[in-house]
Amino acid sequence: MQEDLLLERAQHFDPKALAEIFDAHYTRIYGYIYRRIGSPSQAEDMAGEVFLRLLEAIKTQRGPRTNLLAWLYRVAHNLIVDHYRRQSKAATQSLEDWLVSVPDNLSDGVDLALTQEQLRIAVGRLTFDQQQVIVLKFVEGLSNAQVGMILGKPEGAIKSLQHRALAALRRQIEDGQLNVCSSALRSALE
Amino acid sequence: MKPDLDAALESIMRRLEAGETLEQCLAGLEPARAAELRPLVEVTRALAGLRMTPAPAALAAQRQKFLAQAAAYRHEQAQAQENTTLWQQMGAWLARPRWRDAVVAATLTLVLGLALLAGVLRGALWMHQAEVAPSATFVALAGDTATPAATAPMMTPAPQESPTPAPLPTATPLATETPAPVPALSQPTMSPSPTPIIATPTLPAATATPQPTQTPPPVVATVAPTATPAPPTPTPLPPLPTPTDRPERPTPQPTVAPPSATPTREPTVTPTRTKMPGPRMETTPLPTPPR
Repeated sequence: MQEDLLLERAQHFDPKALAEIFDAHYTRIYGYIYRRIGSPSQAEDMAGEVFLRLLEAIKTQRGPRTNLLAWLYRVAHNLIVDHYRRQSKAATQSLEDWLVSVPDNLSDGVDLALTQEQLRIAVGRLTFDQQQVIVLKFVEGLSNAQVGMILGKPEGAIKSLQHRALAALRRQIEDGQLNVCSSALRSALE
Repeated sequence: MKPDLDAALESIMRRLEAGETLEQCLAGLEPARAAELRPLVEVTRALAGLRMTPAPAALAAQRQKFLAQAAAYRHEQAQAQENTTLWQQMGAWLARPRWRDAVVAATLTLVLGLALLAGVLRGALWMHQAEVAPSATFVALAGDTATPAATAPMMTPAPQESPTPAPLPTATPLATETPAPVPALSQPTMSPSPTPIIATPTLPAATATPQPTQTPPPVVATVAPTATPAPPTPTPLPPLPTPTDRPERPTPQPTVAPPSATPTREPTVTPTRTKMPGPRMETTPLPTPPR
């Protein structure tokens, strides 16, 4: 179903439309939060909170009319920021916990863990904004426009951040800090 | 890293998503470019493959909670719609962002329009008063001898309207006398007139006045009985006929001019005077100009 029609039905709290929205986006929102928070239970609660806020926004007629996914990521992003404000943790410190667990869709023993660790370290060396762009762009698979909408930056700034982030990753690859030729990574890519 | 490398990377990522293999994507590129792109593609693909998935039980629990909340809101919304009045529905409709601006703009336009209309009406009323005032003043002047204080309020509009200039030139001899009435007024001001300010009834007389423009003669008569000295002392008091103001004054004077009783022109006096105490009024019959 087209998103605008789905949102139109959601405005009336149509259960089927809302269930469709939840099924389509909950996992991605959960993954995004989990990578930032590092706690599965907290990530589940916060992802649920994102969807409850969607209902509240619909109720007060301030809900999204277009680009629902970006709206959800935006709310998730704000919740993460609030979470760290409450915890008075530095954002960079939390990002050290990036990729804290082994994903379900990858399993290849020690090599895989090594690759994850390498990726975690490599991405953790990026600036906070660069990390956000890399995660949203290449992990979540969003477009530049969507990433810009979520982070509140123009699309040109997103392109620039992505460019610098990839250049930094490339330098790490060239320096041998990130081994992209591990068998686990290759098997995951194939 | 060059910007075109970013574009090439994005292009390859799209092709990979479409189902092509990495080797197929890199095959068409120069060896150096392919070698440059390969590690980046592998890293970004590795990142994409690291998505997290929630535990099925947790996902089901969150889903149920979400749908239960949606059902509660739906029920609430239905009840609210049943209870809302037409006005409330209109208010909610107008409160929507897309209409709010339009409503504000319409309201501002309406307010400005009303303000403009009020200004126009006030101007029209003022003009009307300006037209009426002179005649009223003349009528009043006919009967008055006394208090300038009473005249003062009426005088203010009068000065501009008092069209006297026109008649003045015509009735040459009288025109010279016209100043005389002014002094007459001035003196009353000094002398405490018994009936200083009587406001009301004068206007009716004024309405009738236009014809009695001949009133001048009676004025003279009235002045005599009253204590106020009729004798024209050429004092400069009267503010009425300012030469500059005159231009628009079309109406009253011309009518006054024809009657021979030129002295009646005394424009300066206030209309209120007509209310002069009972005895005076009797003594001074306004209308009949003795010819």
